[in-house]
Amino acid sequence: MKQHGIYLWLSIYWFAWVNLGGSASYPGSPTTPWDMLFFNTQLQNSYFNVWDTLLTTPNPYENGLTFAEDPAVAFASIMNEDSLLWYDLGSIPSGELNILNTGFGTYFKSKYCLVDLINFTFNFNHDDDNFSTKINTVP
Amino acid sequence: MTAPLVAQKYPTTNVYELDVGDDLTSGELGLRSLWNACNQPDQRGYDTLDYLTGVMEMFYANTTHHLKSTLGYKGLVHGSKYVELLALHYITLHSTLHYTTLHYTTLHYTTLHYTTLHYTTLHNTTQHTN
Repeated sequence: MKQHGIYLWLSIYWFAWVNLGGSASYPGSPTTPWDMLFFNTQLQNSYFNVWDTLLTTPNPYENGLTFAEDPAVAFASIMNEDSLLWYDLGSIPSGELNILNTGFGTYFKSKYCLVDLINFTFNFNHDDDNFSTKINTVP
Repeated sequence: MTAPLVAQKYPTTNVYELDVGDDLTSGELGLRSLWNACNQPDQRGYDTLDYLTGVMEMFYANTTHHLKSTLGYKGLVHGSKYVELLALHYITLHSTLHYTTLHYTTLHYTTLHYTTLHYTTLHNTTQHTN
């Protein structure tokens, strides 16, 4: 095909084709990994392994040229049809949703807590004696 | 982080899912549902959309880096057929638009070319620098 000017578009991932089989190694034992590839590092590692094998294996029909080197491979699609803003969050298994909730807690801290700490420093409120303890309750 | 700080930033004004999923001892905060974030915009909904788009953006950036820098792939990288939703991040966060269903739907369909061009340009640039 390459000799006729036909290029290749690699699209390796669509969540609906992936069956995790309720594996206990994933929080919530999900079956279909709705939205999970965006934030579950375990699934991401498996996904990267597929790319590693696909792009770096020498092609015996092209004198050992890999797909990563072959100009006939014009496109690599990261994923097909998935978005955290599309299906709504109700599709995500609860165990997986906790990963996002924890990340949202970190987001909250990075966005608000520094400013709040500065305000606290210059407007100390003696009624809130547990302030430092509360700060330390969250890793 | 304190519970009063969360209450201050995200005042309970809604009877729906607000505070569901909050577990401050483990650092977890519940996300607003996208429907409510779009139809009843408040700070928690705004931050939910900002956070989720950031998660997606980081994944796309990391994967692109892995393909190009780690594996040496020299072709173009295409995000996803639904990557255009990331455009919400750039448009709504830097404008006075509210997250209404109308805006959400309109942006979904009108920003396709904008985002496609954005990412194509980005990855073309990356390719040339390789």
